[in-house]
Amino acid sequence: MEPGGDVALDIIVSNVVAVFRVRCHLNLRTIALEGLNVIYKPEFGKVLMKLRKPKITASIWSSGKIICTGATSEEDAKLGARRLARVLQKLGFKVRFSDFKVVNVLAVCSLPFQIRLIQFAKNNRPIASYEPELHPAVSYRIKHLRATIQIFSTGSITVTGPSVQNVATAVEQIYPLLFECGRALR
Amino acid sequence: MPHTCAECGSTNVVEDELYSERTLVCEDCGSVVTREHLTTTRSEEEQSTAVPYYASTEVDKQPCRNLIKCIKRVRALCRIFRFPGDMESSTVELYQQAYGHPTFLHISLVKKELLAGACMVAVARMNNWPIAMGTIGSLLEADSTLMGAVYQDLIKSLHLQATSSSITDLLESYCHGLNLTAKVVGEEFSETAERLTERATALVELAGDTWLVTGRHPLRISLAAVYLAWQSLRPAPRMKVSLAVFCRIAKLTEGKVPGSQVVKARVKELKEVLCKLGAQLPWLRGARVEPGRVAALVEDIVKHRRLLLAMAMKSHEEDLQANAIKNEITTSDDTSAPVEITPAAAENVIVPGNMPGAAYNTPTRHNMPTLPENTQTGDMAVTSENTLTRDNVPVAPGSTHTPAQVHPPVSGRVLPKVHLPEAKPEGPKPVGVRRKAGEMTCIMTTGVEEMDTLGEQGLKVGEDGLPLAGQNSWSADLPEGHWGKRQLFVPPCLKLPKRQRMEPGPDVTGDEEISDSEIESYIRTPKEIRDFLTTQRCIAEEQEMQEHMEKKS
Repeated sequence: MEPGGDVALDIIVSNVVAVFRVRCHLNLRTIALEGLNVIYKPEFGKVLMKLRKPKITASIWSSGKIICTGATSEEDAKLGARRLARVLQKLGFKVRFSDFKVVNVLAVCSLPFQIRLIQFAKNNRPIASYEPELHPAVSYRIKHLRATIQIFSTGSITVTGPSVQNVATAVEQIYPLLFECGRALR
Repeated sequence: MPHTCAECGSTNVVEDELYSERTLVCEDCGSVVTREHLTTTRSEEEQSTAVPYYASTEVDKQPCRNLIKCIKRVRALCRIFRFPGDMESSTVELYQQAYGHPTFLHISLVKKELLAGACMVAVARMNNWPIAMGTIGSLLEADSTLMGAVYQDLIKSLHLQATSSSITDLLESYCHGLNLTAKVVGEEFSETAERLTERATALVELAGDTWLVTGRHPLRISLAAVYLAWQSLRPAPRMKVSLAVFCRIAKLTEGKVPGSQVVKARVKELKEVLCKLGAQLPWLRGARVEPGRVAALVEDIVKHRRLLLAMAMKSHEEDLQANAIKNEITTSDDTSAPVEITPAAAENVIVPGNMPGAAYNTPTRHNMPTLPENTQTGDMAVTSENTLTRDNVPVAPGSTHTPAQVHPPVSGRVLPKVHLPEAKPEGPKPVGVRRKAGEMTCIMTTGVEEMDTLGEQGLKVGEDGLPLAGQNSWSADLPEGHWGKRQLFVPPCLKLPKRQRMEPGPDVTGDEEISDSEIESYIRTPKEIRDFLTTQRCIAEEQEMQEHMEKKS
């Protein structure tokens, strides 16, 4: 069977990881002392700061590089990053928000049918890798999109990629392949 | 300084190379003035730097010590598993190739041993020799994740094409590996490998049809199937034997069975499925089947499994339909519609239920949930979703549907176009995708009244906590109308309670203004800082005093 009509699938973005720089040296001890919701990790040389709204965890290094994780959309990540930069500014550092880049997006999509993983892995042999002894899902990498898709037998798939657009394109690409293995009747 | 000949005193001394030995020879009288040694003296050697092994030419000519040891280990492992000669030599060759590859050149010795195991797995798979990674891993006493990582690195770096063996092949070698002869385990517990394989294979096929195999660890399922098969071959004395005792009898491991919790869960799931099917046996007349006593019925269930599966699916469909109609009549405002619905819908749904008869001829294979599952899944899902789409129109506002997806409500249940894909001559069209940050509003799951009843129906539970045969227990967390609730056999993880997802955040552009008040909440007031510092100092002083006291005493 080949998919003919349109199907609307809901892709739920569950995590967005972004990096940015503040272009100045940061004193981690000051941040740990004067900031609330911070965890100082001297053994790793970083400070973890958690924002409430949006719910974001940021790892702050003394070089001024910061990684934000936990956002649910790219815009959310940017807002959270800017908030964080403002907090650092208020703490007395000469911050300049720059080089903001979304690095990774994790999304989950639930397909309305079960998937026969063995058949799927067989049909897509070198690209799809299925090792039930190691992981219950089939791992499918789309090189040109730099996206990785994990396909479970219940029909839910998780997609990771460098941007939300890539993730959506990856789902569009993989859907027909999954449909073949989920619905093929004898 | 120029050399002088000792014999004739001339300074006409030239260099001559005789047999690569540099000598200084006097031209006039021919006597040798000095002779260079071919080899360096000990003192010279000590001063000069030695050539390291990896830079010397010996690397290409002779393998290094570690490689020799590892190759010996590879050969020993191959002999333990009784690989044929050609497979052994190809394993050694593969190992040598991998050893020299940059990915594996500088790894630890532990990993090098795992690499040996990984090479064996790769070669076995390429020759269709059924062997599980777990088997080799347990022999090497290796962490399974590490072993898996090394194996995947091997496949990736050497671009190998190794297909994993099917579970039924693994099962055969597994059964033959067990020693259940009468002499060892006693008359009551003994079993031949052939009978065990046959029964276990049938059980595994049944498990495959009912979504218990896909994605699961094959060795755990194999053990569960072998255990149940062994019990069922002579139920009377063996029904009371627990899994742990069976493993001890069969001498599967010295101590704990690896993954025993998982195996127990698989046994439980398989028994549940067998109970559901057992309830369909006509001579039981619909009586409940207890998981504790299902071993006695396994033989009959396995013999007639195709038929029993179809019957179970059909009766499940009929139950669903009956409930749906009941609810339509009680809750629907539009009284005319339900009357029209009943015959049409019932017809639509039961028709696929009859279809599996035709599809029985093809034998089930391995992990593919087959025939009754397939045809009924395919058709059942299609018709059910047809019924859903009729009610699907009041979808969340502001959604971005393309017109093709939305079907206006039609009175009665004249089946609208199939929402999900059907065959078309062109290639697959790109899927319309809608994403919304963090929100779970699957199109298929708008609250249809019919589906509400399923939530109530599903949770009638018998004494031992298992669902009554023929009914389905599903998690209340599954969205209404989820396909998992409509079907009898679904992957068990759908029945477990789902993890709560994060609440979706508000829609933002990322460039909004940030007010000061929001930021103030993240900064300590100066008073707090002072308090914090004084407290820290006090604690530090106290700790010092304590240490001082301890040192004194």
